[in-house]
Amino acid sequence: MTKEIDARGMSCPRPVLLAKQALADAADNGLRVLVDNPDAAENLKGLGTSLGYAVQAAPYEEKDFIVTFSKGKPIETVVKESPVANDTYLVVLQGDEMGQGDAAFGKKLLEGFIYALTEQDELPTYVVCYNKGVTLTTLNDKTVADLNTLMDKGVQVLSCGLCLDYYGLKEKLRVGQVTNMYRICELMRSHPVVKP
Amino acid sequence: MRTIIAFPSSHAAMEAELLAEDAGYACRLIPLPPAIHAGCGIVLLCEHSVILQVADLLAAKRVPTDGVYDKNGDTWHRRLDS
Repeated sequence: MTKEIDARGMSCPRPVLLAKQALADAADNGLRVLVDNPDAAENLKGLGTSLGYAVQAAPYEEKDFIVTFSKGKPIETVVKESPVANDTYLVVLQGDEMGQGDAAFGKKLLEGFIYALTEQDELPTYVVCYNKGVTLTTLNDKTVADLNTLMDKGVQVLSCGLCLDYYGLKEKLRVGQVTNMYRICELMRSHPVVKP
Repeated sequence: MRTIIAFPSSHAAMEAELLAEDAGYACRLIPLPPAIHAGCGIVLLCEHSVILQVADLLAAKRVPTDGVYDKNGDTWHRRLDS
């Protein structure tokens, strides 16, 4: 019997945490999770995909979403098949400056880094922004443009949802998707990480 | 076509970007293309259509520059009059 979790009213990352535990307990029987916002649905899809499940998110009633995890590879198998990826890398943008020193100069350096990233022969698989790095996906026109260029080339751009919320930028996200700390943690342990 | 203005210092480049933005020109700093010079540096990338106005603005404000470059294909060419 498919297990169901009603995670409506729960804040990030609790729905993901509950889903991960439920999948570990009953990986063969599938799972349905009810959530009340699209970011939670996206985060659950990311969790399911990373664990090898087929995942579908659909509107439920007026404003909720139901995320269905179908039988896929057991978690243990996926873990064994997910060593550190050597043919790709992850770029972490943890602030709005590059290095330490003059703030205005540091911002120009970071803008330059992201521009240079768009012209690399080997692109990252992911760009992850957290803490003040989320201003790069929201407020900074130049980095938003460059990150959009990267997305056009197949790079996934992710911003920490908690960070967007903390800095009051959740409604201002202009490129990429919202993610959570579990996904960030998983990506950072499974990819070579570049931190400018 | 891409067009950039080079500078003898990063301070001049940052001042130039502020002046150009304040004047309403769509310009931004990017890393110095290695094809121009192997060293470090930042240059001002501008719309080709406004490069002369921006160069005039910087000259009027006495911001030192180090050439205007146009990119054709993979090659950067310095304008002889810059």
